Amino acid sequence: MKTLFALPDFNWGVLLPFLILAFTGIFGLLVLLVNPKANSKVIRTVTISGGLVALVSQFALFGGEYRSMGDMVMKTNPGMIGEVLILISLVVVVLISKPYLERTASDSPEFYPLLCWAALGGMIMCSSDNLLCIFVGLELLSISLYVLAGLNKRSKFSQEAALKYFLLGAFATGFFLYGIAFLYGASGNLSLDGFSTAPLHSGTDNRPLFYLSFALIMVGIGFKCGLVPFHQWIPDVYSGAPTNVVAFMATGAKVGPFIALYNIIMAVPTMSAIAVPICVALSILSMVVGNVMAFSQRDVKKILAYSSMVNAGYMLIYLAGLMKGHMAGAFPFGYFLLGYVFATLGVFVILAQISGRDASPITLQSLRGLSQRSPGLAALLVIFVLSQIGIGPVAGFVAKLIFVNGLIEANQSWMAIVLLANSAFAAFYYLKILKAAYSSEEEGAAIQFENGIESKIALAVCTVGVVGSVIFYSPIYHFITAR
Amino acid sequence: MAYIGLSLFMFSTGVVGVVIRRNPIVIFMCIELMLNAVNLAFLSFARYRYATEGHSLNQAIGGPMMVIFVMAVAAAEVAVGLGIIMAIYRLKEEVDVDELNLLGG
Repeated sequence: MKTLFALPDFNWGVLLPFLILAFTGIFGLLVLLVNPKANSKVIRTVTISGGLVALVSQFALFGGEYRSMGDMVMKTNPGMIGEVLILISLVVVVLISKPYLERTASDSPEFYPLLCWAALGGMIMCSSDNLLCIFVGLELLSISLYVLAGLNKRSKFSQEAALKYFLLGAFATGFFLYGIAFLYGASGNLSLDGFSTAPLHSGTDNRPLFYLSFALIMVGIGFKCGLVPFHQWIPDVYSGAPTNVVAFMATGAKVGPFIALYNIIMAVPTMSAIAVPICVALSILSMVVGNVMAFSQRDVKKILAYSSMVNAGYMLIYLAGLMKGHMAGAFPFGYFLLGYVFATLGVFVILAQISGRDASPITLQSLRGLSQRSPGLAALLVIFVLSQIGIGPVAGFVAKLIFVNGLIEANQSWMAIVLLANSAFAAFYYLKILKAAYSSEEEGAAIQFENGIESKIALAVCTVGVVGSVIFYSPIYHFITAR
Repeated sequence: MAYIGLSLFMFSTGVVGVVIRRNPIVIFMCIELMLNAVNLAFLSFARYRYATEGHSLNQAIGGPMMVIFVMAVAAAEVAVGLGIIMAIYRLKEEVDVDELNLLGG
């Protein structure tokens, strides 16, 4: 039978995690449509189970590489690790959201579908090397997050964060799209493979088009990843947005852009003459500026915001080293993301537990006395912060170790030294968080925290992630890289 | 290639507008201008490939497809953006990005 065009090969099994997540969100909205008075309990339960089912279907895909929908969807590492991390952070954030939203009296059931779609956007970004798909994923993620940042309609902080995030985010989208337009103009297609055709055209005059396109795409992705100098939104948005939303923004919502960054960098080795200096400059700027700015901060969420920039710098310098050494590093990159996501998520779960009723910024001051009130919570905070610093038997340490190892193998020892020097400097402000948690509380400023079963499960997941990924390092490695 | 020149001009107008204007709605209009510049660039590149480089329609279709997606996404962004600006206006009776400095950034 002759059809108008060849139907692409739909491999439904590969699309299953996406479909489950999309329909979970739609179902949540339908419940609201049928019964506007519905409390968020039903939707929350559906969202958690949807996330878990998607997680299972995602795990079933490990151990292979898949393509679907005519190469629009591509399931490879580290994208698949990233998708698992996004789903885990979705479930954890939904778990901690109930007590937090009830406390700040901003419990609107729309929260859960929006979170689902934000996660879906991140997953789409993880699993494509086609810029159209990456763009749609990026926007699905961003637009959901704009709304989520302004979730607390009565808080000026939250609204201001939403507006800043929205304006700067849309601005960066413009640059990203213009970059895609130039890539399309130079190579004739929308796939990242277009970059690798750059040398084929070296005779013609469209080399500058490729360079311009790479630079503009890096502006767009760098904004979402939080690379300096595109970082201005991060401290404000982290500080102003509701803590449970920031927990997702800092983890699940970062994974998608990072994986897209990985795919882009891996696609441009033919232009490494220009791409490596750009990446190295961006990463060193991110590390140094992030560290220096974090040093004098008193707002815990802002410290974590700057720390996320520093982490973005570590990842980018590793990628630059790989590009220069013409190596592949899917597993180390995925593992670093794993350590980063679990440790950051853990810190934010604790912050969401102790943040007050008025949704104002959390200062170091308000952490004081945590160890007296709840030694267990303080001990967990130590584990997560140590993982961020990279000391001890925690994921952050192993992740940095394999990064440094990879950089040395790629003959870029000086990059490894920059990375280590910055992570040593970063220890100072991380330790300030611990110092605040372990100092005695002030008179009349007793720290309040809630301790429901949901938060306990969430903390357990994060702890298992941070510690378990070290203990089970080699099983994880074999599971993920098995062919 | 005059269309690419026009698109570059629109894009830079948009960028300058975002940087110098203080009203969020005007900033937002400038962002829309940038997105339209992107659309124009996509279409003129597609036309160029189709007409001069002998690409088949199937090969050149990526650009026009992208334009449709960009328009859809821009519409969604408008809805969300105006909603956020409305919410701020209700809370503060004022929308000016210089006045939004609670977060000290």
